[in-house]
Amino acid sequence: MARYLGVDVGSVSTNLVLTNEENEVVSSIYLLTEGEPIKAVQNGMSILKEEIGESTVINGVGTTGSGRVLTGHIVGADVIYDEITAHGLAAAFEVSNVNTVLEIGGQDSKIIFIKDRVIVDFAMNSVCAAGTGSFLDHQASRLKVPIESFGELALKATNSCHIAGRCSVFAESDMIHKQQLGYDKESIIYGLCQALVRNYLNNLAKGKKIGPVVIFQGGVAANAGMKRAFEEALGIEIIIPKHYNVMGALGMALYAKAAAKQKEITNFKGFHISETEFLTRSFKCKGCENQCEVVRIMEAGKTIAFYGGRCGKWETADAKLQETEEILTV
Amino acid sequence: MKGKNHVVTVPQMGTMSILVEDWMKRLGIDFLPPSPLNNKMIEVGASVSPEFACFPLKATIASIMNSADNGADIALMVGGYGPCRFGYYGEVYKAILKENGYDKKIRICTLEPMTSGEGLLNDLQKFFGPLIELSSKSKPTIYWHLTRSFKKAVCMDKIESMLLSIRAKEKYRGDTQKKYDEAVGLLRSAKNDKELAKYQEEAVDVMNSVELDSNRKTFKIGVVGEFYVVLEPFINMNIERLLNELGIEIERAIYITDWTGPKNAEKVAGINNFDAHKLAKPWIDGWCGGDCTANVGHAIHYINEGIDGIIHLYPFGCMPDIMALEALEIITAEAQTPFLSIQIDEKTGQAGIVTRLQAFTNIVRKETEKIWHAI
Repeated sequence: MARYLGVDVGSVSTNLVLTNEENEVVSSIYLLTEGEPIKAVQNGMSILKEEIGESTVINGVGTTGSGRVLTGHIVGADVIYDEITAHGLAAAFEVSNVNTVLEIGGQDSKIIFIKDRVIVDFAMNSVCAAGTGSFLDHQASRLKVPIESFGELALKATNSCHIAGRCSVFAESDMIHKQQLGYDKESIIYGLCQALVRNYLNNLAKGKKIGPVVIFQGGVAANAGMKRAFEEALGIEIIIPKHYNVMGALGMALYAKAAAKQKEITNFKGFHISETEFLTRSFKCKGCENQCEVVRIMEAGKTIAFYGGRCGKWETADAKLQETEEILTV
Repeated sequence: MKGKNHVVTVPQMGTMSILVEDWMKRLGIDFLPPSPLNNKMIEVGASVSPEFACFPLKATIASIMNSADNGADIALMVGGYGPCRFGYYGEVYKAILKENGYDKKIRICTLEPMTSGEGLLNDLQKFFGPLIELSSKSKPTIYWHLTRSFKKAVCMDKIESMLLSIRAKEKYRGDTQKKYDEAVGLLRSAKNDKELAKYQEEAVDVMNSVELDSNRKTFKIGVVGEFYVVLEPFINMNIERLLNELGIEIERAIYITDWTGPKNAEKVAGINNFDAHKLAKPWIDGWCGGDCTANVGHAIHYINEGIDGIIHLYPFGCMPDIMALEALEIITAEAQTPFLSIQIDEKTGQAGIVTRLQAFTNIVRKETEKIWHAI
C-alpha cells in the first residue's frame, strides 16, 4: 500500500494530505499554524500517525507554502514547490476542465489561469492585506462575529451596503460609519465580502479573462458569502472543490508521487520527527554590510541546514556543514 | 578644479564603475570605485529622497553619499534631455546633497549627452568641458581614451552574457560565479589594447572551463525592463542568479555598453535599439520616454526567436515601463509566451519574488503537464 504525503505550511494554516496509489485522499488534516510552523507540522504528523498507524509506509513527501523550505528540512521532502504550482495542479486534478482558480488564503491571494490542465499564467497580491482572508478575520472580530458563521450571516443580508474596501484601514472606518448609519449586521457583513471580491478582482484579475469554469479554493472558500459575492461579480457559477481548504497539500501529494517514481528511495525521515526536538536559531551573517538574517535548523542538537540571506552562500554551505559550523563558533 | 586634488566617483550600477575607472586612470584622474550597495545604504537613500522618486534615484544618491564619506569629492553623472525623470536626477541630487549638508563634500558633475539640439559644438563642450578641466587633456585625447575603455567594457559585457547562460548549466553551484570573478579580474588588469585582446581570449577560456551538467535541461528567458533595475543585481534581488539556479538561461536586452554607447551600434546580445523601435512600431508608434519602446521591441524579437518566457522588471512608478507593460501583456498573451512582470522598490521583499520566480519557472518548464503522465 503506497502512500504519498503533501504538506502545506501557510501563515494561517498547516495542512497535511495523504493520498494512495489511485490518487484518492486517504487522510486530510487542517491545523492552525499559530506562528509556530515546526510545532504545527509535528502536531500534524502525530495526528496522522494515530489515524493510519505507524507501520504505514510513506513513499514520497512534498512541501509547499511559505514555510516550505523549513518544513522540507524537517520532514525530509522529496519535492518542494511554490504555492501556485501546488494549488494549480490540485485544481486541475479535482476539476479537469478548470480555466481559472481563485485562491484566497490567510495572508495572500492568488489567481491561477489554467489551459488544458496546464498552468499558463498567475498573479499574486503583493503588499496589500485588503484582498486576503486576514481582512475578513479582522473585521469579523471587530463585529464580534465568529469567522465560522460569517458566511452564513452574509447570506441573510437583505440590504445592499457598499463598503470602501480599497484598503483594510479605510474599510474599517467606512464599516463603522455604516454601523452608525444603522445598517444591520448581516448587510454589513455581506458588504465586506463584496468589498473583498472587488479588491481581489481589481488587483489580480485586471485585464485577464476569467472562466468559463471557475473554482474557488483556500480557507476563505468556506465562507458562503464570498462564493455568492464572486458569483454576483462575475456572473457565473463558482465551483468549490471538495478539498478546498487543503488543495496545496493535495497538489504536493501528487507531485510527491511523481517524484517517487523517479527516485529509488524517499527522503522522508519517518513519523518519529513528531517527537524529535527541532530548534531554529537565526543569526546575522557578518560576510558583508547587508547583515542578512540566516536561519539555522537543528535536529536533536545537530545542524541540518541553513537558509536565508541574499547571496545564497549559506544554502550552498549545506554540503559543508562541518566547515560552516566552525565559522559559526569563531 | 585640477585633477590632482580631486577624487572622482560614479554611482553604483552593475559593472559601470569598471568602465569609468579605466577611463579615469587613462586620464590621470583619481578614481574611487563605489562600494557595493547594501540595505543600510538603501535605507539612507530612501530617507533623504522624495517618497515618490524612482527607486534608482534612492539607490544612486545613497551610493554617492557613501562615496563622499569615503573621500570622493566629484560624482560623475550622465545627464540627458528628458528621456524620463532620469534626465533630472543630477539636479535632484544637488538639492538632496545640499539639504543634507553634503554639498561641501561632493559635487555632482553632469556629462550631458549629445542630444540637446543646440548644435554639435555646444554639445561637445557640455560633455567634455568638466573632464577637460579635471584632466587638462584635449577633447580628442579624452575621446580616444573613452573609446579604449569602452572596448574593455564591451569585453566585460560579453563575459557577463556568458555568465548568464553558463551558470544555468553548471555542475557545481557557485562554480561559474568564481570563474566569472576571475575573468573580470583579468580584463580589469588589461592596460592596453594588446593586453586586452590577450586577456579577452583567456577570459573566454576561463568561462568555458566551467564543468557543465549535461543531464540538465535548460530553458531560455528574455529579461527586459528599466535599465538600472536590470543592470544592478542588488536592486533586483539577484533575479538573474535565482533564475540561473532554477535552470534558466537568460538573454538580456541591455548591458552596460548598450546603455552608454550609441543606440544604433551592434549590441552585446540581441538586436540594437534602432531595430527594436522598428519592431515595436505597431504597438508604440513614437517614443514615450525611458526604455519603453525598446523594451517592447526586444520582447517581440525574443518571441520571434521562440524564447520560452519573458520577464519584465521595472521600478515602482516608472512611467515609461508601465506603458511598456500594457503592450507586453497583450503581445505575450497573443504569442502564448509565459510572461512575468515584477515591480521593484525599496519595500519589495525577497520571499515574494522567489515564490513568483519559482511559479513562473514551473510554467516555463510545463511542470504541470509532465505530472499527468507520472501519476
